[in-house]
Amino acid sequence: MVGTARQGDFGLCLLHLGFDEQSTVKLVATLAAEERAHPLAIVCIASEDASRAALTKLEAQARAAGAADVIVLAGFAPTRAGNTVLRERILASAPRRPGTAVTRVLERAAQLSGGPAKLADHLRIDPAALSRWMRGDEETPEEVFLAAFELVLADLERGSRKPS
Amino acid sequence: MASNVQSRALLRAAELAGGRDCLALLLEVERPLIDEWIAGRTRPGMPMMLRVVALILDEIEEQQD
Repeated sequence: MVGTARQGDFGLCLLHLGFDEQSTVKLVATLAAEERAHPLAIVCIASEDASRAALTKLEAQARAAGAADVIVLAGFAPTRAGNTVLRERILASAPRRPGTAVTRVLERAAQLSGGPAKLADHLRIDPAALSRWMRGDEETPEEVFLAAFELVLADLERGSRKPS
Repeated sequence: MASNVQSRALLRAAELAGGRDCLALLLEVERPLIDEWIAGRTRPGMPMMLRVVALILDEIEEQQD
């Protein structure tokens, strides 16, 4: 397992805290201590078989060993919606895509507007300031972010799928 | 009818998550709070809004891939 993790540039490792919990906790610690080019998020999945007290103790151990999250399956409905929520919870621990939500919104809004200059014009903001916000050099004012997100959301609501 | 950007974003996120209950679970908040935000009675703070936005952006990017 550790050898496999060393071979690939993985961003997320999902471990089942099932058969031998303590060995898995040790594995979490080993993986978390590995020097890697990119961060590895370790998420542990626990089944609902154990008692609540045992799960609480196990969660504390796994987190102390370096797990980014410990998820107890009992909290998720065995339905499509439950699976969606579980998937999002797991992926929330994965390293983020490049850029923050704010810079991603500005980039998308710029695409939809026909470029950063046109977005700046549309939002009536300084193009140089927009460039700094898009690079993440400065914090984007909330009203600008929301105005840019309005463009993104409106496009989504229209159902248009313009080429990016 | 939800009209402000936060409300519309939350409605969209709830659709993506599989319903308001699922979104509440995902955002780790009580379900009534989701209803309040969607109704526009109160607004989520920016950290929460950014989580909602990230969920929507992930969906857009997934559709484009």
